[in-house]
Amino acid sequence: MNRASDSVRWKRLLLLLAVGVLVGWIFTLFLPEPDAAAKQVGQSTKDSPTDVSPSIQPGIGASTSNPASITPSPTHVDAILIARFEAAAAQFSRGIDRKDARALIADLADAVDAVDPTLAAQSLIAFLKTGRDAATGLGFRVAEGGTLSDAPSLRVATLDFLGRTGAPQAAEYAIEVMDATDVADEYSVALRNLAWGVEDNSEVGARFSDMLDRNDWLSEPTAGFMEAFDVAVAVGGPQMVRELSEVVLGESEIPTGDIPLLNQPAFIALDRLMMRDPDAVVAAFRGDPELLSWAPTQRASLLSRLDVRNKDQRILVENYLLSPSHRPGEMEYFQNIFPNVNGIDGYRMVTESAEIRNVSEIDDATRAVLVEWKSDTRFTSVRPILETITRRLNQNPSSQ
Amino acid sequence: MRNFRAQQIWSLGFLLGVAIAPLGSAQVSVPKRVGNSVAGGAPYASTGIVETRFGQSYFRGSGAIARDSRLIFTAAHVGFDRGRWADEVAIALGWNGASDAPPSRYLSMRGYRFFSSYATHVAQYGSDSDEAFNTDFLVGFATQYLGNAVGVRAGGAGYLANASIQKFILGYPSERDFDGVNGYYYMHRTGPFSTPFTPLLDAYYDVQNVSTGSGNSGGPVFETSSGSAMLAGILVSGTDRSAGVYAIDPPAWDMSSNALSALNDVPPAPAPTRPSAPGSTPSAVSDSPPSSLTLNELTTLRETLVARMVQIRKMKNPQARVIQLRRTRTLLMRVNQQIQALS
Repeated sequence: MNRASDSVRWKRLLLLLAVGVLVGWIFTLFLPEPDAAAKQVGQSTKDSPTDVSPSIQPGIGASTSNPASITPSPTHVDAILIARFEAAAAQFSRGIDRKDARALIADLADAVDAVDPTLAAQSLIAFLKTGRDAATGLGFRVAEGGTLSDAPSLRVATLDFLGRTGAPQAAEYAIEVMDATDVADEYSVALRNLAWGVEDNSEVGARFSDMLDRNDWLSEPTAGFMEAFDVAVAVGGPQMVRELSEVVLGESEIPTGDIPLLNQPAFIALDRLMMRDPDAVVAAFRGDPELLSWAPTQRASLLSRLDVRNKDQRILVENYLLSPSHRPGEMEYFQNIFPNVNGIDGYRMVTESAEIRNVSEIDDATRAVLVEWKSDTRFTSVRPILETITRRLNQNPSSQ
Repeated sequence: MRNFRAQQIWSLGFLLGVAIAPLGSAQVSVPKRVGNSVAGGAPYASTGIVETRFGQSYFRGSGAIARDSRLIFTAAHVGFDRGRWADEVAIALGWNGASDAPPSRYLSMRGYRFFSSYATHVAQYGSDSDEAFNTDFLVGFATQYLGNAVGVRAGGAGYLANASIQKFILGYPSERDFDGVNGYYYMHRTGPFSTPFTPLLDAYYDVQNVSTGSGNSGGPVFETSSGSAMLAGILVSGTDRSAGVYAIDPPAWDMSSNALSALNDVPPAPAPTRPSAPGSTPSAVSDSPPSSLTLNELTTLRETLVARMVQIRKMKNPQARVIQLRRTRTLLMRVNQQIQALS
């Protein structure tokens, strides 16, 4: 009896399991793409002990009528969103023109925007962990708010979307990307995401320094790599001044004939850092008076930003003028641009413009100091330089 | 597209007559010399030779006083050299001669501004790339009155792309691309023509069958829909049968605002509401809710967007916060409109 009863129970259990498998299989037929995406996500998460197998959550556009049902949990991803990225990867892989590529990326951006930020972030991370990628045929262009208007690959675009969600996972995942990637543009956007997401800039500064340790990236810098110099501007401080100066110096040693690609972007970053954080530059020069001495034009240009209305900066200008170690042409350049009120505009990954205000006030203060210097015997040897600066400033008289 | 690379000024030992287009050029608008009587009036008197000095090297382009009597608009490659600022940027307004204007005629800028991404794009994609031309814009500023400023269309592209609007280009081609005729230091006008410009990349547009020449770089591109010439773009590239233009856009307007701000010690003014050019189509809006959603789905989407805005407000980076709020707000507005329409 017991054996027979057990046998019946066993058969019922097998039947139930078979029905369950059948129902499950039929169910998957109606959700082919999300299921495929979920399988890929599941596979990828095996490699990542920090993540767990995700549960599938329908996104906006699916038949979800209850807002509460889209409340994310840490393990939820939006399978439909991931499927859209999978489909986009396939589309990019087949090759599309730039116009269509931009339209496709704009569609993906809209799709991400339509999902809860945390859910979107988790889904984007899940997609990134699949390792799938495709070239978009586009460049790397920074747009308003530090976002990208063009991204060279789907992964770079995805990292951009991830940062734009504003979810804390974006900064956390940025570390993982920077630890693993060999793609400079990915590192760049991850670095931006980290800078956006953390209060303490020390990790950001360290990661920027790590980026400069990559010789392969330095030798063939991408646009994303160069745009990431803005992170150094955001971090500021003497260390970043030194880091950027190293790039400028390294570039100045490139043999004639080769194009020093990093020179201008690195110098622009240094210049902007000077405008945002002049104290850092003053401190860096105090620590190393010979800083940038092998790039005299850049040194002159940087120090031309100093504002004599500030006591420390005025002393630095005086020391610079009286320094015996000027390189040929250095002072000729300095006298033509000091005080430098030129500006650099445009979109950047992290920082905003540091604006110069009231040029006339700067000029008037400089004129007054020039009069003092010209009557000071310490400056006798540089008097022609002072005269040139005075003459130049008088070509643009104060408007006040 | 060939970049009108800023070129070193050469001395001219002789004088040549009026440039004449060759036979068969009727379909291509080419630069023609402007008479002295015309050169003294608007907008010609606001246009000039832009000279840039890097050490002992002088470079030449074109430009115009625009928006404010202390600002000039020109191309970035006129004032760009890797790793250093120009020692001097100056303009000789309304000049019209066989040889260069005397130094006394040049008005020095106190400073200038350009887009940081221009340097990146030149380094990465080359100075002749769409990406570089798309940021090839520079504003020079002076503390003194330079001359009468021409009006500016902050949304220049709409006018340039309009086939019913007459456009013309001013500047100083040292040589006409179409036929190689020497332009000396005479002011030239190309057009008027109505051929529409077509977009290549954001602010970078080009037009076929319109040709200028090296040295015309930075020259103003005017539109005439209101009866007076308004600056809609800056010439940045060209071939013997085409011209490339940086269309004045909000970032360019912002750059000029920042220049004024530096001069005036006031915060930059916001860009004026972009007037739509007659007959122009509105630009595509990328921030749109998915179409064909049911009322329930739209309601869900609205809830999501509201939650998203709460999260965005907590974002640390102010730039990112502002842009994301703006994007989400736009999307939310459209969702609300669709909900209203459905209910």
